[in-house]
Amino acid sequence: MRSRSLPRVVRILTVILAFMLISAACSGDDDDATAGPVVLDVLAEAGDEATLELATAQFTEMYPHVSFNITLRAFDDYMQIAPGILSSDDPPDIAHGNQGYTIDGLLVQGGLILPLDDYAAQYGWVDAFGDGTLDQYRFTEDGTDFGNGILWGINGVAEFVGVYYNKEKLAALGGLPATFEEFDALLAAAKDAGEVPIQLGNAEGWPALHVYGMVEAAYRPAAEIRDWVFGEPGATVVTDTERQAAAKFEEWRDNGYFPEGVNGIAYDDSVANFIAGEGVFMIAGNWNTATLDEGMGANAGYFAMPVGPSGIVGGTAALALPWHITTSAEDPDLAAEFINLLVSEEFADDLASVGRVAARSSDTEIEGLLAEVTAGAAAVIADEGVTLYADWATPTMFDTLTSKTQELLGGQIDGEQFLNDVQSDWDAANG
Amino acid sequence: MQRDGLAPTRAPLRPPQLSRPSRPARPVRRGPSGRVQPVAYLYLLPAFAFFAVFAVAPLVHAFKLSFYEWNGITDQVWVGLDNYVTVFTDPHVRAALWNSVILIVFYAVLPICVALVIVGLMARVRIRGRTAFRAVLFVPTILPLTVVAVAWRWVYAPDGPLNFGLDLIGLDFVSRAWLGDFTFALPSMGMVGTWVTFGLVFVLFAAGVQKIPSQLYESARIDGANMVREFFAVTLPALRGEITVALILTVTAALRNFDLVFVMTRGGPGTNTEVPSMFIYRSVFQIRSIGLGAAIGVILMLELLAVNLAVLWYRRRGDLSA
Repeated sequence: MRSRSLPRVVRILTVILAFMLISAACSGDDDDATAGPVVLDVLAEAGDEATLELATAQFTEMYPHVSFNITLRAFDDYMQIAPGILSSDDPPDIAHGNQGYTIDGLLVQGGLILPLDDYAAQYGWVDAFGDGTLDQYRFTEDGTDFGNGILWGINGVAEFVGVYYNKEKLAALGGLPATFEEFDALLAAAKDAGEVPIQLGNAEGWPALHVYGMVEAAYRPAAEIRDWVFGEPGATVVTDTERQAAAKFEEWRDNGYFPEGVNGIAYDDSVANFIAGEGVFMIAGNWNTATLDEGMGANAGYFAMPVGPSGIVGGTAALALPWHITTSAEDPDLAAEFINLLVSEEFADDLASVGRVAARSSDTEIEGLLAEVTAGAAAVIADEGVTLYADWATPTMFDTLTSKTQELLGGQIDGEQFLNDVQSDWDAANG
Repeated sequence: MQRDGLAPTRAPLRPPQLSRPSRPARPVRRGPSGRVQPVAYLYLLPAFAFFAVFAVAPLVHAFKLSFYEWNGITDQVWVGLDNYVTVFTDPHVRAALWNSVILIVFYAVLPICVALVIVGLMARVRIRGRTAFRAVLFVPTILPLTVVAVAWRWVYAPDGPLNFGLDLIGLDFVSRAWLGDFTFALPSMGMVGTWVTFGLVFVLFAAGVQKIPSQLYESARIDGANMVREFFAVTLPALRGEITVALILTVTAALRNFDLVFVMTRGGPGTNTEVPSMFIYRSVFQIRSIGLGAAIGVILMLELLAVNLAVLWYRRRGDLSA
């Protein structure tokens, strides 16, 4: 029997009881009809369609008077229209945002979303996810200081970058690497064996960023990387260790560890190439798990990147797009209750069933590649190795990084120039 | 050039006057006094209202926004010419404006030159199945540009048909990831533009050639003009109107190019295929600096206007001197 069954029964009973009491109270009075049918409007990024299907079904079971009106939009589309819809006359009750200045900062500045600190305390979110993990959803009240202050959103899904590998090919070269040096040595061995060491398609510019993020994490402490992404006082992009990372990435480029014409290969095509057996490793986000599982079956493996000689793991990682409660939500408490269901430990099993990785530990018995991916995420959280996504650092950083990784991989610039360009973008926003 | 001596005195070939349509009568209704009756303007009102609401008002609004800093949510802040200063000092925006000029070569100059050559040939050589030929060439023009972009992205892919074909004929040293190549990405994209606009230009010219009286060609031939001379003396001057229309349409397509870039490269690799409309998109939807996007939009509009006015001015001057 699942552990959540009992509380759910209790909750259902509570709701029924409350319903009876309120309807009794309302019968002689024209009090506000809280028990009448309630519709929660949800505006979400389309990747969460299956997640929402499961969650809303469970929620409606608990609260039969609640129904949902869900609007889904694909990622690019969503980020274009969401702020406009939230500031319109008819905003939803719950909506996705996006970490960083361009969406979340904007929503906070516009007073469009509610602070969630009280709910976080009520539901124990901070303890459950770890103190620093939720900083990516924090902004000061004026929406200008990212990573500090009030909690405005939350999501329980881990979107971590890790290392997928072709089990057959790796077995021919050696075992799983315990340190970054061992990983580096495996790349050289793969190259010598005539394999493509790292499958990558960088036509979009951001895929290489995930690879660079891993190298960066291998040379620099995760906390230091988080500080520059958040623009903390005293932080900076370029340090000696950052230079070492850029030099290592440049070395990988020069050694031919990436496929030929990497800037002309689309991300989806690179995943298809990896499935087709081109590449020993693929450093990519864990959202590829279902695709790889389907395409490669038992031949696909995953590990969190060992980022130092001590064997700790880390790298580019974050939680998924935050769920926000809008300021015009009719019943914020109810909306918070639904969000709590989405991030609850009980729901972690359901997340796994739709191929998503829960950041909260789950006792479900998942199998195969998803189990390795989930274990990898847990290891990164345990080692406090989350380094966030570098493109959150400034409003223009996404454009800077995407074009600069292409120039770096294309040999137009060297690692030093790459870092200088990133630094000047960062200085313009934080100077 | 060796010429026969049969026609010793030869009047210089002049542009065919017949080809120019006579000016249509002015469709303005005049009252007994000879002045335009005020009621005439009433008939213009519906069209003007439509134009005002959907073209003029957004234009004025965008112009106004270009002087503000605005993220779309919080209050607009007046910043004067700051956005324009940003546009002209940002090397990326300048590179994008320059790229759009290069794209004019691919979208306008190249298709017009090729179409003129083919049309010139057609004046001499009978081509069988000309209608079918023309229909096929016109297809790219009516395809949605996103479809075109997706198709060509596949053609240019590292394991796409273009590289496959090159490898097949032993040119494997030429094959590359075309859209990811810092040298070839922009020309590759430009060639797609040529492919798209060529059909339109060709159909325009082919129609134009058909209305040239065959006597003109006959007299040119009697005068001993060879194919090249015939082309410059008869065909080209007769097509001046069509060339103007083709230039305006294709230059506009080149400067406001967004679909192809967005789907094929998003401006990459690096900033090599960056165009002004991508910056508008980025400024407004990614960086959320709507004033900056509006400023680039205004500059792009002025650039378009300037190029088109230059084309029209050149055409008018040509008319007067002819």
